[in-house]
Amino acid sequence: MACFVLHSKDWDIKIPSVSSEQGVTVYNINVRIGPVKWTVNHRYRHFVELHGSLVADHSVSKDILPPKKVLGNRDPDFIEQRRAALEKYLSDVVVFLQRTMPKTLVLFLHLEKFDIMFLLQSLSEQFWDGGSSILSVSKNYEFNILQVHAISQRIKLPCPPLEIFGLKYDFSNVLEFCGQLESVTVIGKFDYMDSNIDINQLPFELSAFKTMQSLTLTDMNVGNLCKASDLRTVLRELKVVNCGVRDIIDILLCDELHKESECREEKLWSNLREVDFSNNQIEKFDDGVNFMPFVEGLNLNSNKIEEINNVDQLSNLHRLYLSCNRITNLCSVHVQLKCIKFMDLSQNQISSLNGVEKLGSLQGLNVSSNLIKDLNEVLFICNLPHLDYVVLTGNPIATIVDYRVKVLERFGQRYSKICLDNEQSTQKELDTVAVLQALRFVKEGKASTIKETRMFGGSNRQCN
Amino acid sequence: MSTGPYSYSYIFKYIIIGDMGVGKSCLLHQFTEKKFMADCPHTIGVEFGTRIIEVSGQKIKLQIWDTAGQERFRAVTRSYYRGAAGALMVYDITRRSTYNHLNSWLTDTRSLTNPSTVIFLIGNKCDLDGQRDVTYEEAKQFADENGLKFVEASAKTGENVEEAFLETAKKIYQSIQDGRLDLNAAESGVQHKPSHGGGGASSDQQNNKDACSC
Repeated sequence: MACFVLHSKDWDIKIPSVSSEQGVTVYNINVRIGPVKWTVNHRYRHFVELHGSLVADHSVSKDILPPKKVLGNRDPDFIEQRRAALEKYLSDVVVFLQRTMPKTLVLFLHLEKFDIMFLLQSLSEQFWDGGSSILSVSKNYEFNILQVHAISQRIKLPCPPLEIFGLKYDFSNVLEFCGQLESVTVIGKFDYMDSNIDINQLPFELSAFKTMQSLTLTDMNVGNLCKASDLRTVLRELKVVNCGVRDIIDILLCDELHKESECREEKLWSNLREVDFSNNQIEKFDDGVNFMPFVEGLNLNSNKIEEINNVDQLSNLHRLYLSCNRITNLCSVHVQLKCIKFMDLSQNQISSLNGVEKLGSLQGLNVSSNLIKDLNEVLFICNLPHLDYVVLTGNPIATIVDYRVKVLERFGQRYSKICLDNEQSTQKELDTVAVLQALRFVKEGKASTIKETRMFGGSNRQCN
Repeated sequence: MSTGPYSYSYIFKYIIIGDMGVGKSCLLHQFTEKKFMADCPHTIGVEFGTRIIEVSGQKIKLQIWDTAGQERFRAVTRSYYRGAAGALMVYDITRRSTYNHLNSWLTDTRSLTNPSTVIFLIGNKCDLDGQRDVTYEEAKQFADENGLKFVEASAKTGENVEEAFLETAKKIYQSIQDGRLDLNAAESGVQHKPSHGGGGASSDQQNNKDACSC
């Protein structure tokens, strides 16, 4: 980002071109401060407004702005003449007001968007006026990447904390506000970026957020978070969403150049309980999972994961969200997820629930929109002692006539406890299930179990 | 209003300076959080902390800038002296070199702050008495010669930490009472906030003048 204070001799303001917007002439102003450039568009009227304020409050002399012209103001020669005059005007004004840089001028040149000092001044002002009322409602605040980058840079810059404009604009307002937040979101996407600042190349650190427990990063290159050491021991919740991440380890070792998978004590995220890495490009549970050994809830929705493996070390993992991935089977899931309570596996390519029958602590299972065809797949979950929430909708079996009743019937004695597809069973359904079960009992001499269904042969001892 | 947790009648700006590793950040942390930070990372640039204290019945908000001790951040550190009402100058009693550098820290402080800035010398890590490298008497003499307040403290046990910050505030407050410190000067490092302190701030000030025994 730009820093006018440090580059007070290395800047220029040019108006290289004009353009026409709906019949109005617009001057394309190029601002350059050090290596940073951006463009601001203004029509002549905006210059008049700026000038009025500078004349009134900052003793800029009245006659330096090129004058108004009523007739012939679309003549190309006239426009060219005015362009050159306005260019000179802006440079003169900035030289004249370099020390004070009034707010109207800052806003006119968009310095508050692209310059570290001016951006933080406007943030300071915002927190000075409304910081305590924001904090009294919620200890959560959303920053954009430029703001967080500016804070990280500012604490390393040799500039006095007491700005010439007074306390209202003092950087301490920002630091004080940040120091009280519990939850911070940093967004890496913009709708205005008419500059050569590459927002994917803005390093930042978060040491100003001393009481933060929850961090959300969206739409950014997580490698720009340099210095995560303080976060590792305090952060309880981490969300890295829509950041194009391929490997979990890239997030948890974001501040390491070489992502060695060797798990050193000081690199562990020892307080991390809730993790959300949804909407990324993660293909597998890589060694990164070992850096968050105590995680309880893991959200990997909308990634590219094909298999559930390598998570057997996560002994506290209770909730796993894997919606919209590429999982095809659950055969070894019982080795991996010993104390799982809830799993969302919706929108995958699962055709069999084989493997789920051993997850003794499972309470809820969402396998909607998969490829489950056979009603007898239900037998793999019918004996789970704590299961009471099942979602099967969107699978081929859900198109079978009397699907709900047939599914519930296969839960044997537990049928009345099951909430299927987010719907409590009606009395009529429950009655029908009871009748079906009685019929089956008469017909077969016992309730349905996995054992007698041919497709599983005799190998399922656990289902007696 | 004046009894609310965030109301105060003054803001005092402090700066903490001293060599790398003497425990500046730990002192700040001990003062603001009342906890010892065992493995404190090096400060990058500056850090910031606040706490509201009470001196002679007046609520005072301390704005504390904790600077980096590393030489490469010296320019950053220097830029924070301006407008400091109090400077806490820290050395490590177990490392003589940090004590030897006090002269240069003092020169910086004297030249970059205003004459009314209160400078407080802190000999940190006094819990490590066995490894002592600088005697109390020696440092006390240095402090006296240069007109500094002095105390030995421990960020680890919390001993004298509170005292150092509070004593500094008392001295600053005294300067205000005596009229030696001009509240209107931008460089004073003190801001009066009558709107937050309740309407009676100025009369309180009068009343407390007698009560202030510091």
